[in-house]
Amino acid sequence: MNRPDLSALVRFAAQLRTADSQAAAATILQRWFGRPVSVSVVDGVVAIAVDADVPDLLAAAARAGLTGDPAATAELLDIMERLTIERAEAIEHRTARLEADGRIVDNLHEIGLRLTAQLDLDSLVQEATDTATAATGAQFGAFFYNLVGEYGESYTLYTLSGVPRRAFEKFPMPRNTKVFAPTFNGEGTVRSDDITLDPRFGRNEPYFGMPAGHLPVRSYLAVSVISPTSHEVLGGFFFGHPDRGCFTKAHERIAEGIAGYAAIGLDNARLYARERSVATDLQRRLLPEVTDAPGFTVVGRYLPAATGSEVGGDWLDVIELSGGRTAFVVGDVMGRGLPAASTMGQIRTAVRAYALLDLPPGEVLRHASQLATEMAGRQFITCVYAVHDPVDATLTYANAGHPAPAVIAPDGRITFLSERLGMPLRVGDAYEERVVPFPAGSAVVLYTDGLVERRGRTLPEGMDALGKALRAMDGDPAGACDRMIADLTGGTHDDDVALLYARDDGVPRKVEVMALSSEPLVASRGRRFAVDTLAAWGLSDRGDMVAMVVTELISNAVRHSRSPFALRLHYTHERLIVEVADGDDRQPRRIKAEVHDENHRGLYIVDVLARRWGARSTPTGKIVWAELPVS
Amino acid sequence: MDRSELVSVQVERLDRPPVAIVRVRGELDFGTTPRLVEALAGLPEPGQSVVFDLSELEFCDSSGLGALIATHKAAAAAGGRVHLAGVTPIVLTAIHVTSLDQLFPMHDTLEGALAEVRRA
Repeated sequence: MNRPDLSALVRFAAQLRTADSQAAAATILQRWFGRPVSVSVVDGVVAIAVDADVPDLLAAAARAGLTGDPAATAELLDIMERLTIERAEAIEHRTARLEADGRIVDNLHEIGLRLTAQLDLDSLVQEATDTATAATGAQFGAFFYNLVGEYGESYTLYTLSGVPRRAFEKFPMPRNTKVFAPTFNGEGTVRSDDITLDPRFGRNEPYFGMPAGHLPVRSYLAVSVISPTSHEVLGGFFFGHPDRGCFTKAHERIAEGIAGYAAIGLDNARLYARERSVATDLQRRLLPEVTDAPGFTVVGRYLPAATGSEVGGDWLDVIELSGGRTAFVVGDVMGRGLPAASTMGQIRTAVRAYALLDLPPGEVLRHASQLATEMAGRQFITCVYAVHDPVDATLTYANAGHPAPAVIAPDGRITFLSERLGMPLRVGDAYEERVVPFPAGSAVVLYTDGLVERRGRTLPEGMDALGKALRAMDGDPAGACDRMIADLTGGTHDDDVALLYARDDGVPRKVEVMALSSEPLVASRGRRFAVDTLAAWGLSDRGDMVAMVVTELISNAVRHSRSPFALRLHYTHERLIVEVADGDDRQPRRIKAEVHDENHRGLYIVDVLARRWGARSTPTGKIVWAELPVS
Repeated sequence: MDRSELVSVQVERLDRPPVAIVRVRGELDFGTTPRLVEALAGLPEPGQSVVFDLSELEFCDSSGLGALIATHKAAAAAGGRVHLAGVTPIVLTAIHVTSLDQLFPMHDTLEGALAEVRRA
């Protein structure tokens, strides 16, 4: 389309005196120019404004062109100058806005990287709220998000930005009111220049609007946070400003962008928390509660690493053995995560099983090592297995490459049992045993390397520090252990820390021992000795039962081993234990006697009368023992 | 101390009804039971029942119970029965925990046991 001749046009328009004819001309001209045109009469001259912005430009141009008047020309130049400046300013303004938009995109990108890498929920939501509040220019912002707790219950938390928490803490959580519903239902963004004028506002009890004392809100922007994986609504961002019309389409887009990143971040954090809780849960299940052993004060502590997500393979165990003895175990499967935790669970169970077979410490570790070679994985596994025997007041232990246990003597002297006795499990095939005195009042301290090894500290320095800490221990052992762990790890530990402290409380134990021979009347002598001993201990009512058990155990020892050594009666912590030692390492077997069977009733009688019974190997043979109910 | 001090066994035979009364006094265990086993040699004769008077037996272990079971089997083979009389509490415990009360009729007194044998 050709541009119309301007002067012809003006002449044409000059004849148009009425508003109707001007409008008709404008319609025709609009077709020519392809854009809105206004036609008017200015100072007796018809003005045709093609750009609505500058109606006076064309009017001035028309006057100057028609009259050649210098004043009109000067006016035209002024107008053009002003227009140029205005245009330049407009361009600057637009450039600035584009730059700002660019910054927003950059910011969003950066926020996105940070938010999606953030696994700590609290920091994540706070950062998202702060960023979104700043980016939208809101006076304050809030982020309400839903979480599902350990027992599947749902609850809502919130963070605030731009306003202290106390500004909101007297209000209940926002409910699904007509204003909030679209956000909590994930129905889309709500943006309002004045929310108080919104038809949805003020419709719900009890406040019908904002509760008294609420910060004034006119401009309102609310964005849902929706999980990209499950599509459930995770929460919502709410922004407010006391002035009207503060939030633009651009603000809306920014808020939606941040909400998108926050959703990914929340999703990640929730998945991570779930994963971690599965792993910790598994480990917690594998790691038994460290139980008290009779006569001992036991403190067991397991602290997962403060850094990193995966659980480790440390474990502790306290196992009651026969004859009032107690086994203390600490172990460490190198590595992290479920593989380490599951290997730990298997080894711990194996060690426990070997312990209950009453194998000596070296044998327990040898079997565990052998078993470990057949298990999946290649991690090193270190372990200490120590058995306390109250009768001779000793601690017998074996060590598979684990940090040295410490013994605290009753006078407070610390000894590290640092002699290297064996290689880690899976590597070693023989484990020497050592016996150290363990008089009443002594304590043994088992731990994993996380307690002593730390960045910036060598192992010997760590052991030194542990020694010092043990010497300084005082007061309630549980509190002292917690303080010691905090001191040694400096409050942060990048490895798991396990600590087992067990102190023999020195509760009086009653023990009587009688030497045995294989002469025919030895059972009778043993019986009398047992009955007399029980009478002296105030347990005469148990005399018959003990006489029967002692007789059967001695009979067995004489019949099968021909070399009975000793009868030992042991009473402590409401447990009465009968032990018969002999020089034969074959283990007894219980055979179920048929009613007409003349033999095989001996151990059956023991089995019925005893709370439990068993046999354990000794360096010189075995001990068959039975624990009898006292009350 | 020898075996004879720990346990004594007396055997008395009645003809009508044919019954052997075995009085065991003292303590039976793997050291003394051989003494009982010796005394029981040749018992019971065909058709003869055995009544153990255990009212003065102060202890009985699994080997003593084994001797009683052996006698029960022999008596059953010979057409008789084994009765226990006057079982003391500790021996009764041993009999109960081994479920041998299923095997032996038990009587408070020797007279009660003999009355039962006569009725049979």
